[in-house]
Amino acid sequence: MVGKDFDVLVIGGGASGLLSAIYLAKKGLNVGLIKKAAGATQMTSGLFDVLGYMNDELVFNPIEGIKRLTKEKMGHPYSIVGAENVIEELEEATSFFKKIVAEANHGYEGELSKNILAVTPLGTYKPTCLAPKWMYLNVLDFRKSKLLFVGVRNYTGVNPVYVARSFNSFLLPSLVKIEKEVEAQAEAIYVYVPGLEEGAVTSFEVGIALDDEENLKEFARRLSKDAKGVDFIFLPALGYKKPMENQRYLKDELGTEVIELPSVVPSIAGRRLMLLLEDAAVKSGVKVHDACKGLLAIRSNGECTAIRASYGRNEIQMEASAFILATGSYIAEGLVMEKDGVKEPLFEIPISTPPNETYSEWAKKEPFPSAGHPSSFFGVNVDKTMRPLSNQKVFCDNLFACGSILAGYDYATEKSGLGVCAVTALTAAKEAGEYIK
Amino acid sequence: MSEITPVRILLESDKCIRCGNCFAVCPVSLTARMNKFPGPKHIGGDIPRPTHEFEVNDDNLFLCTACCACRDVCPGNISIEEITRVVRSKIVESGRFAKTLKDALESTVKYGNPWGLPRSERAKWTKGLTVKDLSKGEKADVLLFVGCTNAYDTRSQEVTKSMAKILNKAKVDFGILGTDESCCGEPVRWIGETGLFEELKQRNTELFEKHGVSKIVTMSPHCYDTLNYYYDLKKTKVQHYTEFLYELVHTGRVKPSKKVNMRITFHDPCTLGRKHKVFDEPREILKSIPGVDLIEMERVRDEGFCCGGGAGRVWLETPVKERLSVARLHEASKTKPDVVATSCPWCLTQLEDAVKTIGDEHVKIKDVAEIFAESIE
Amino acid sequence: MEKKSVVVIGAGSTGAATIRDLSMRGIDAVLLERGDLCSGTTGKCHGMLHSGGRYVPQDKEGASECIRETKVLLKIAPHLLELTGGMFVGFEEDEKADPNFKDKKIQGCKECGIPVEEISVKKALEIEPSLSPEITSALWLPIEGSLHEFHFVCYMCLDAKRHGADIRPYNEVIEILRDGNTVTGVRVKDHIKGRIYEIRSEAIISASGPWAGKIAKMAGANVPINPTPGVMVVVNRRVVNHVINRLRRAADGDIILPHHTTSIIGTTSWPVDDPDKLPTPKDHVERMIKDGSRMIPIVEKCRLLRAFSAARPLIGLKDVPGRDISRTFEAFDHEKIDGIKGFITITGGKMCTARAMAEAAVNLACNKLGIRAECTTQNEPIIGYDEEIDVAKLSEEYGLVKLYTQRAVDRLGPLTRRALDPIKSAPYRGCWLCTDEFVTRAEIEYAVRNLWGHFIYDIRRRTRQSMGTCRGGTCSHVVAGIQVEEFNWDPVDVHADLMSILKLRWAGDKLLLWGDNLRQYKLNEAIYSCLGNYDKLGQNLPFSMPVFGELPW
Repeated sequence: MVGKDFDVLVIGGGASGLLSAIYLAKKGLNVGLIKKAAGATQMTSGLFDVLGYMNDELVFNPIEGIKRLTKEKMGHPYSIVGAENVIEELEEATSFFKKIVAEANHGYEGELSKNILAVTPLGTYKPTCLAPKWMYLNVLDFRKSKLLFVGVRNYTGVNPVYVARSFNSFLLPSLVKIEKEVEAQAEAIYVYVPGLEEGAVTSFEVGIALDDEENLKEFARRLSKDAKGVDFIFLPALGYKKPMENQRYLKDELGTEVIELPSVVPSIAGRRLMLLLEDAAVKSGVKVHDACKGLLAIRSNGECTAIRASYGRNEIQMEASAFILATGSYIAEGLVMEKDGVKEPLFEIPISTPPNETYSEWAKKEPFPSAGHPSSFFGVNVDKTMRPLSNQKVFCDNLFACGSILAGYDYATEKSGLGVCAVTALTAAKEAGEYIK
Repeated sequence: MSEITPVRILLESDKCIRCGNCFAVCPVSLTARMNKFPGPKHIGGDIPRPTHEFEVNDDNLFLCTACCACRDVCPGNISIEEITRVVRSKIVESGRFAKTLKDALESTVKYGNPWGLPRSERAKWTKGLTVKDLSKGEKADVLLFVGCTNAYDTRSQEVTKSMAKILNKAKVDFGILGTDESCCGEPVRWIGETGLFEELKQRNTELFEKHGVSKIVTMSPHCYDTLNYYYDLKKTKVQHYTEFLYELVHTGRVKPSKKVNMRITFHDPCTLGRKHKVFDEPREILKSIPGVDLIEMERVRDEGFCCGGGAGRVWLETPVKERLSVARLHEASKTKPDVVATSCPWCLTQLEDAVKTIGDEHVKIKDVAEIFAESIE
Repeated sequence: MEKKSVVVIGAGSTGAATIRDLSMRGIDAVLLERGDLCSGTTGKCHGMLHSGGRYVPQDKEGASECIRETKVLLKIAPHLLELTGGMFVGFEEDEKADPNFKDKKIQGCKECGIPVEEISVKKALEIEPSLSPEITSALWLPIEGSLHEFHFVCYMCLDAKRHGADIRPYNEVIEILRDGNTVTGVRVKDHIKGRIYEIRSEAIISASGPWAGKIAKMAGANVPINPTPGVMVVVNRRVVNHVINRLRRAADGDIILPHHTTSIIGTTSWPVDDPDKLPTPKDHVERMIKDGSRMIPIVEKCRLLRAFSAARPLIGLKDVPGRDISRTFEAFDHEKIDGIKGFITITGGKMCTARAMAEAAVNLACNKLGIRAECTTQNEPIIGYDEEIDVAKLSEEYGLVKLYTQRAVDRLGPLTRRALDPIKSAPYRGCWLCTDEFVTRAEIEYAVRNLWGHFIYDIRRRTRQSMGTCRGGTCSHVVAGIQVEEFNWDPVDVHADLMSILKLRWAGDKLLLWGDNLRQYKLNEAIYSCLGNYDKLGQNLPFSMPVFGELPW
């Protein structure tokens, strides 16, 4: 294995890294991508959030919500991308995403102007914007709907009785406050997946089993009695590689809509998304290096010239004209929280760390405060060209950053995860492309 | 890479945040299932914590094949396979592990190979061939480190013979250590018998120094991995034969000319592919052979699915429905190949066994070296 | 009107031992506890099985009490403890500070009947490889170990129940009823059912640990109790397999011992007025880490899980520093002291002296009731003694991997078979909740049905669910599901309970929120905030458990 030269080297193989790499590769550039492992993207539930809440208020139209956001939250990545054109950029990013996904025979549905409320396997609901075709369902659309939550008896991850009863007594009253006309009744059953009747199973085993035609047939047969008269059936996993086909089959056989619940960790939908994006990257010509961990950034004269990385059992050096840092947040250690502050380990970009008071402040707060936990807001600060800043000056001319490594937002309470990833990925990619010219 | 000490390895488990990325990809979790195997999430994160109860894992921890799929998706970069090995070494100390593994270890002590065959027969495969033997005083530029399976197993011997034929055709000045060669120690190390491993390492290292060996080519990716990474051979370059053969083809030293007419799908050996990132070389070799139609199956390269032979599992009895090799063969068969090609003796053994189990008459398992050798005059 | 002979207040180790003793003597008694069993000091102690060596030479009385009772525990409760043996290790600075200390310790131990042996540093390092190689002296004490506090309390309650006692967690005594200077009963608030009721009784035994002062006041009596908390830090692995003490005059950060799959470093000491208001000072946490790593260097590299504190019930005068107060126990006959008839306080002591404390209290109560009944608790083994636990056999019987069975046994103790039995008729109960600690559904259900588990937090105490690295992330919502499905909880209440347990976990986690603990928190945030949307939907959910004093975060 020899270090290769690239136009652009993307560091980080999550959603933002892969999207920026695919974008540039499709524009004809020579793109390399290194990823040390799988990070947070593999844990996503499958839902594509753009903006779910603005200051504790539910957002029904992300476009409107973002317009407000860019006036109030200047440090937010959406605002940095550009208050004037962030909506356009988002349209482009989400269309780009949808196209890639469609090319892989997976479909994401949804419009940037509308959020849906999706029911979660924890018996709650959350606002989201796009979702895979087999997950896309707005609970606010229920009109005298009969719902059936199906659980797999020996899969403990999703309890259909819990979700169903929670829907009826916890969710429905608050949904009705939002939309008067909502009317639904949920029931629950348990079944066994053919071939997996013994022991305990994981969602992956369920998905893989349902990808087999014979199993799927038998599974449909097991559901047929309870499916009569039901409008929507919810499953913890519809399949692993073939959820769309399986959804179609079950709908035909059972005569009801079949929906896969968003995945709880370990996430089958998250893994699907990762594989799909990686596949798209390879097909677009991106040279993806797996198990390749960036160790050191080599810089000279305000520019980054190469990255030294471990690859397999060796170390390699990769040179490129521009670099995109998409190493993510704390989970996969794109950012590291040490006792004396937050660090960005690869380039050692200084992260503005709050004074000591904030540490004790967050020790007082509850675990899931509505405004988000202070740790989420730390990250790499960028200018509107997505170049990291250090003391308000551009850190490095040919370095760009995107995704959850960025400062100024909290994907968990805003429900803005993949939206920020996608739009900052494309912006960073475009800027990197411009730089190369 | 720095020293892998048990303490350092076990501390890695602190990084585990229980995300579950690992067991989405573990081939053992998906076939033997967690009703039998605690899964990489548990091995990586939890087993190292209570240091007083390692022995309770004597019935399940040996199911891991060290394929490293888990480590490569772990956000904390935990070397889960090394944790398995360290815990195994504790279990081995207590003596509570499978008899077949004990036999393999004892045989290695007695005969220098895990197959229970006498040292004197280690070079039997060379009969009728022109192969220099360094143990007899001959000298050569390149040492072909044969490895135990390629030396003793009748099926794998065919692969070794093919390799010798290719090297002679390419006029490579190579030799073997003959009956002086001992097991590289890979199965011993993975089973957990670290003391014996150190002995083998020392013995082989002294031999390399005695013969002034500066370049080693191995038949097995496991020998390659062990010599490259777990030995300290500072002045010696170690390659797997696919890397070496790729260079030979690339520089025109050997050219496959006879058409072979095969539809081939390549199974990436985990240790060669995922661990050392040698994906392209075997494929390029196959593509250079006239008449070869190379089709990729679904899970290849980094996403390759293990054959189930690594880390000592070749010596363990596995019920049919838990055999990784059977699952892999089913997957390979979807591409309707004439041949499933591979470049590792464990993979070869496992996949051939799967063919017999499934009873598929149509598909053959061949090593890349064999196919190449068929194509040279 | 409910009538009982004796009311016992407080279900810590003392209260549980007391109700067990009462019931074994045939006395009709009820145990009232405002929270969950073992939710007071006992639930947050070091879990140490003491030889008493620690109290030598400064508190020989306390030490002798310890060794006496520990030997009894070895006889009646070998199945509830881990006899690991322990060491006292000294460093150069300790020897300089007091060159005679080691000899004083050895001499004192011998006087108290505590087996002790000086061993070479080399031997010490062989026994416990993670010890610092800088130690200069070591003593080996074979009778040291860890007593599983939750098992201890729970099993004693099970035994008491078996003998006819009534165990009532979440029943808080809000008033002690009197007729003049005679105590006649209690007024109780049932926090689960939300009702208030009364029990008439002939005697009341207050076994309420550091709350003894508060309870006594209700009866118009006085107990000189000084609640003295100490901070403890939990290390995410078992770094030692024996109890390790520092060979010096008792000070902070002297102990590190193994506790299930973790190690606990402790402890500090500072007096407070109210045992319900216990902040965990951050610098204490840092000191524990520093002191712990002096003895066991690898602690510095280890992930720490959480820190907590609980108040010791020290009896004595306020101006005597906590470390100098004797750790003996005392039974207060309030008729003699305050003129209040029918009221007894038993407090002080340590978890391992609980049985002796109970004996003293019940003897006193018998006197008052005019009953002649001999104490048999020093000989009668605690329930579970006869249960045969063969991990290999159990795992085969229930179709579980040996590892999972071993863990179940660690968690539930010898009565694990009873917990796992339902798996035979309903195999899905053998399914684990998450692939972290592999707690099975059967164990969760057993904890609720048979071990007085009510809230998810109680279930946690019994099954160690969420005690691991995951901090309750991946498993708590599964337990929530079982509460709804199996025990018919209202989903709204379950959501509130789920949020409450996560908040309680947070109270301990937030003190160590860096490095991998922060990453862990981020994963839990992804599950409960991003997917679960609890940051919004959980805002108006009330805290599910009764709160005494400050909310802990």
